[in-house]
Amino acid sequence: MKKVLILSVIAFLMVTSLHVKASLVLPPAQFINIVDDFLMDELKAYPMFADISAELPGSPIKVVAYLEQDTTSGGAAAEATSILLSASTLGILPVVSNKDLKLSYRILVNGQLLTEYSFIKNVTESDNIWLAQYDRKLDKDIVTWVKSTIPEVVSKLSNDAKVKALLDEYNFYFE
Amino acid sequence: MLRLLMLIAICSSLLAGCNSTTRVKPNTVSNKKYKVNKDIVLPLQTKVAVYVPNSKLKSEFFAVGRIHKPGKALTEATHSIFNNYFNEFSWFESKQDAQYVFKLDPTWDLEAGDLKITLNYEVFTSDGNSLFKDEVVETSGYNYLNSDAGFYNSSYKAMLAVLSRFVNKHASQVSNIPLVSLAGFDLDKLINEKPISTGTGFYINQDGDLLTAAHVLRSCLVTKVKVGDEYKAVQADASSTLLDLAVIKSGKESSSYLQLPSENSLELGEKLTSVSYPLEGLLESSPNMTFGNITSVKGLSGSKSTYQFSAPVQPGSSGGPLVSDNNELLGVTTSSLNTKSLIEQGVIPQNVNFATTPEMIKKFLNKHNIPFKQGKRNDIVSTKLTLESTTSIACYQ
Repeated sequence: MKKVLILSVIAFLMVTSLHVKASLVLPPAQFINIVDDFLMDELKAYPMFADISAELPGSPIKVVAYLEQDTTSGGAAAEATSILLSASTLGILPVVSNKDLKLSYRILVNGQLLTEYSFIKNVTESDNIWLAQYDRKLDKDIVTWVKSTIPEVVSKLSNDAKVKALLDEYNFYFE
Repeated sequence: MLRLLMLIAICSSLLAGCNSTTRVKPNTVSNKKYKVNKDIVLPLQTKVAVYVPNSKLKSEFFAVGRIHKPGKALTEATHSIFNNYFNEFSWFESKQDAQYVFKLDPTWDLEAGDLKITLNYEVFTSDGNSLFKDEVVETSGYNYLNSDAGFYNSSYKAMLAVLSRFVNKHASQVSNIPLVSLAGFDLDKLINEKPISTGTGFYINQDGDLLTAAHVLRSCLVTKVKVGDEYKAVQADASSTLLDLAVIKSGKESSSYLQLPSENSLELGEKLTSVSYPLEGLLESSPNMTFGNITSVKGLSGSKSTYQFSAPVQPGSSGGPLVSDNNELLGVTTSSLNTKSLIEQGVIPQNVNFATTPEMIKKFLNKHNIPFKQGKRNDIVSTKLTLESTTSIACYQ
């Protein structure tokens, strides 16, 4: 009885791992990256995104990754206070703000949004008020966080009925 | 003293800046300018439906290194304020029921560093009777790096004007207005006089089925096609976003229609006739005919369903047919090369246009059981047949 139970558990685990590994593979799609250069190589390491490329302008399918910042209500007050302090000294002091960082992955078909998944991280970021630039390289912690979202977006897209329907249609017309 | 003056100046601009990056408080139902009469208790026990053109709800643009979403801000501001004023709110759908319908159409401009919204609005009872119609203009601070609050606040303020006016005038009568299905609501009352976009379609068989590009019909509240002498509201019968093709049933048989070629292969250099209706405004449209060649049997890198042709096209040509001298339908016009970035690099491409291949058109029609014929025709001049088979399509929001 014990042997049967152990074998059943092993069989179950094997089936489960096969199910996790056999995720969908997107057709050749143009990748539009508004996050950071490293993201393309990270995504292509997963079978789902193996066929994405920045150089496929004619593909009807686009994968878009972009970052947004939403200032939380506490963040706005913290930033206001910090700016006041900086201004009162008329020196160079960091602006401290609390911001929700939102990373979104979109799948578009001929310009129409098919599906989108977003991930949010609360960050405290220090910037010099006079030299603030909006086009910075991502901090190492943020890079780690971005990389951590990829397995989850792969899982969500694999279980997305709209993505499955798109692949069925793509295979019908082109395979 | 100098430091104190600078501090005051900075504090003032800081307060304005906070306004431009912080949304209006969620439960706001009035402000200094727009007030609700004291005897009115909100939310009203009323069910309302709101119509905003889809293009406004989905609007986004990319600037200053990030994505800006006025549509998202507008959507959330509408949700927030309408839920404050009414106990039941929904977006307009024919299958819904409601007592009142609000039609809202915003446009934004930047003026002296502020965001200015002009909101055209009209309020109807659910049977289509117009209660009032007007325009309100409001402004909000605008932060180029964080534009959400600017779009949200300007939308919220403008809708505050509309809703405070409505409740002050009509709150006592809401219980007399019946809850009615919107299935019978005249959609022409919601759309603008001019179409938001136009395109082209053509008859693909005798039954009166029209083939066009799917994106011509995208997000239209009402689509109108000229069928014979009348303009008729139609809907897509079959559609593929992946191939960018759609079929509309006109409801009227047509003796003029286009046939697909027997062979799927395209011949490089083959001559093509393109007919389209590139002008906006259905009533004043006239067909535009141009000529060209198949310039490549392939489309842009990554495309599996298009090829390149040289006949000049314009906005509104989408969905139009490309016809050979033997009256064979060789493609459906879908797009043109975006030349802006190439021009910036000193390259000026001309007439780089794309069409869906006959092979894909056949697969699409077969998949959706749309009948079609194949083969050449030499009993009629191709330009004449193409003109007679083609019509204009107007998209209204």
